[in-house]
Amino acid sequence: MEIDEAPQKVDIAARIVTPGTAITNDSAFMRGHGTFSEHDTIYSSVAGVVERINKLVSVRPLKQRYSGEIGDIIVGRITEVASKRWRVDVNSRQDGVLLLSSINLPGGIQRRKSESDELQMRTFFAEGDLVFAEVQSYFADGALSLHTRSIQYGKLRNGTLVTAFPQLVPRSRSHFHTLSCGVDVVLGVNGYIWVSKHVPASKVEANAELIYSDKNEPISDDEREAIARVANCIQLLNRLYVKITDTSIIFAYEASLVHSVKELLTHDVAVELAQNVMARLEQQA
Amino acid sequence: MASLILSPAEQDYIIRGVESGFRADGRGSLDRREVSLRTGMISQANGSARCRIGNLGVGTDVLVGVKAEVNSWTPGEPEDLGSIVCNVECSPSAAQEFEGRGAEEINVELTQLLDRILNGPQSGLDLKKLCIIPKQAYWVLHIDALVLDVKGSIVDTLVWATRAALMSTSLPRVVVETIGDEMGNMQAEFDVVDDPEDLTPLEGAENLPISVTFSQIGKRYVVDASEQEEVVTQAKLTVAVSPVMEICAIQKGGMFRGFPPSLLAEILEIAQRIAREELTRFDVHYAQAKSHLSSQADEPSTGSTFLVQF
Amino acid sequence: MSLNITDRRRINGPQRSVEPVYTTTSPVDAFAAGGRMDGRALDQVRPIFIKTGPLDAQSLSAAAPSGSAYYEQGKIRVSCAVYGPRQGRKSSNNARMGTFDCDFKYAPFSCSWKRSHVKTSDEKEIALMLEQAVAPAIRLDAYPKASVDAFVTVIESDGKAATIAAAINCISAALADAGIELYDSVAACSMSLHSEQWVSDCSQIEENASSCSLLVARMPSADEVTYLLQHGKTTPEQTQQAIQTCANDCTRVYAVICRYLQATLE
Repeated sequence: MEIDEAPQKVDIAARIVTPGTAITNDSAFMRGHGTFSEHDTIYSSVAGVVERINKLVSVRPLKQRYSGEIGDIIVGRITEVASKRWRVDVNSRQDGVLLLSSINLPGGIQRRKSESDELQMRTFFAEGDLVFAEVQSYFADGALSLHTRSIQYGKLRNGTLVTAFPQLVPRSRSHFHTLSCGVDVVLGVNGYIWVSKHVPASKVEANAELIYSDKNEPISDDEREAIARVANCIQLLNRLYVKITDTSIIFAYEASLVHSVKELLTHDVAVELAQNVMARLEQQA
Repeated sequence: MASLILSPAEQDYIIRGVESGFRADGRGSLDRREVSLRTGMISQANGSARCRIGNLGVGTDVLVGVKAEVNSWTPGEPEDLGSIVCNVECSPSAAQEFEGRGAEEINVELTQLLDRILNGPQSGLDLKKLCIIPKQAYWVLHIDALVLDVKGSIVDTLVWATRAALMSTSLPRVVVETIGDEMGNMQAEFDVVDDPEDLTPLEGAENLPISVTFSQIGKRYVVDASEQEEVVTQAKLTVAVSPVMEICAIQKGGMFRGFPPSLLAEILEIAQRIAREELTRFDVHYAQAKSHLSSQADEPSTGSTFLVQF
Repeated sequence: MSLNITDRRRINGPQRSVEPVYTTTSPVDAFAAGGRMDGRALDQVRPIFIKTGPLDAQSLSAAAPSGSAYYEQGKIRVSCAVYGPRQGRKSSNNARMGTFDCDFKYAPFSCSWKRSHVKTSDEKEIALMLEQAVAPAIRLDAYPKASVDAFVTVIESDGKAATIAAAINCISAALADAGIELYDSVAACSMSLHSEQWVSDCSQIEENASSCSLLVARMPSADEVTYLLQHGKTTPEQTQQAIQTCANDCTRVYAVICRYLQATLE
């Protein structure tokens, strides 16, 4: 990037700083996340790495609570049913909000008015349900507003949840992947990852009423094994701090086939597989 | 106990999985997770151990410290026995709900369970050996357990850690003298030798029982339930078995259902076999912990060794 | 209690006092003669008396308990009051099912030694045990967001395991009196091991001389064991056999409870 700057400012980027370290006192820079300014100097407010994009200076810490951006694809868990809205745990500093007007209702607007009381709302989402949603906007207090208006979003079924560090799930074009072993993976940017049996999209669209059903499809033993294998692979990628993308999951899955599913979570096998995956990722890059 | 909530679809997935013998993480119904065991990390205690049951460095984590104190005998107490006092506390670092008084119920439950296993002849410890002078002074062993993390199977982890802590406990040597006073009465006096090298190991600790907890999920049961499996557990049965295959304690837990008697009979039979396997596994880990401790003796003891080596 | 804090709400006695030691015939002698101290057979449960309905027949106010029961088994005396189903106090996670809470207290004069006024962890644990034993019998899914509370007071105790069994039976009777929907009544019974012989329903003296005690709570119609507590050394075969025998004893106790409930209705 062509940026006109004095030689000493090149040093700012990629520096490791601790809270209270002065980064720069050049007023040309704007401060971003992880910084604060006093008088004319920008200081770091967290322990992390300095990042500079054009004139924006920010500090990225190693570990941070997920903070939503508009357009993020996330997986959340309903914690509360309130009047015309649901509160959703999105692994962030505040619960997200899913408004009744933001969900997919077969039947449209008329249905919405009659179904707006709490008892009826539980027929869609009740406490404990997992939802696949997108961040639409923010509320004034910073809470995320979610929506599930597209047919691919909605209640999650037929599988199991894996919790990972949010910073290991990079934002990308697509967060819904179908793996060749017949397993669907939903990579929530907030660190909640859903691994389930593959259900063809055509089946979902055929019966719109079923999108809020709590019943699982019948899952065979082989499918269950594949789901467990993928879930364990994601777990070990998470624990050994490898970025979780569809590529890394596929690499891990392929390397894991020589071991039994339960062995994948033992220390030695996990380390071996993680190293394998990192090597292949580096090769690819 | 768990603050974890699961959706009906997730619960159904786990229950069906258990019923077809294939758990969510690929284990079979009787497979247990990895164990990490370390002893002797608390120099101020007479014995200590830390046990973690779980995979990849995350799991249920319990730290147990044993401190021995001398207590004066008062009328009404047994005349020639020492005593054991247990206390289990769940730290808020384990779960948010353990903040303040939230952990009170579970602390009581775990303390009483541990007390039931340790107090009495079934524990294998010889309380007579803990008496210093009959009707005068005796050792009290304070066993304090701190639960640092909860990821399912808390009772088994607690018993593993307590067993390791007691096996690594050693008491200072006591010298007893009988002195005559002016009127010719014989008085016994004791002196605790203040030498960190001069210690006697606690007798009988290797006779302590080990526990196996069975969780009923759907129509089947599993051993070493994970956090998610505990949410769908309807009833639990903890069986404590001693190394000579005696049943030392059985306690049912869980509020939703009872056990059909046929399942109960099956569980009791399997409990012995699993206990035998667990005792063998325990001995292996304990030996590893001991050898780790002695290899570490030359290194300077800093705060980092406690955390890093585990 | 060795607390140095003076309890200002009560008139304090001396800081430390102990129970006097009596010389009595030890039950071991009684067993050797082939009988027990009170002349019962080895597998005989003590006679049971149950009365449901308010202890004070005049109290019909709204604050009165929904159901109550008074239970006697030999020298054991337990009373239980059940409130509910009423509005649940805690905002529970699970809005689909009600909760069952139990409170247990020994009266200070109930045991051979003086008990403390403050609830000890012993009593708190027994409260948990009672919850675990009785909750499976209650149709909690019929009472979402409501809570059923049981308050048990032991007026006189004679054998720890036997007293807990009596408490469970008492709660069953009180729940039935309150008209709460149940799958079945829970009946409980206890046993102790004396030199290879299992003896049913032991008194305190007999229990002190035993090497192992066992408590079983059962729902006979549903054929489910709702609570099981064993404490002491036994072999697995002895345990299996004892659980079987104890479960049969539970059925006998259950028949007694049902008979009383029917008699009250008539």
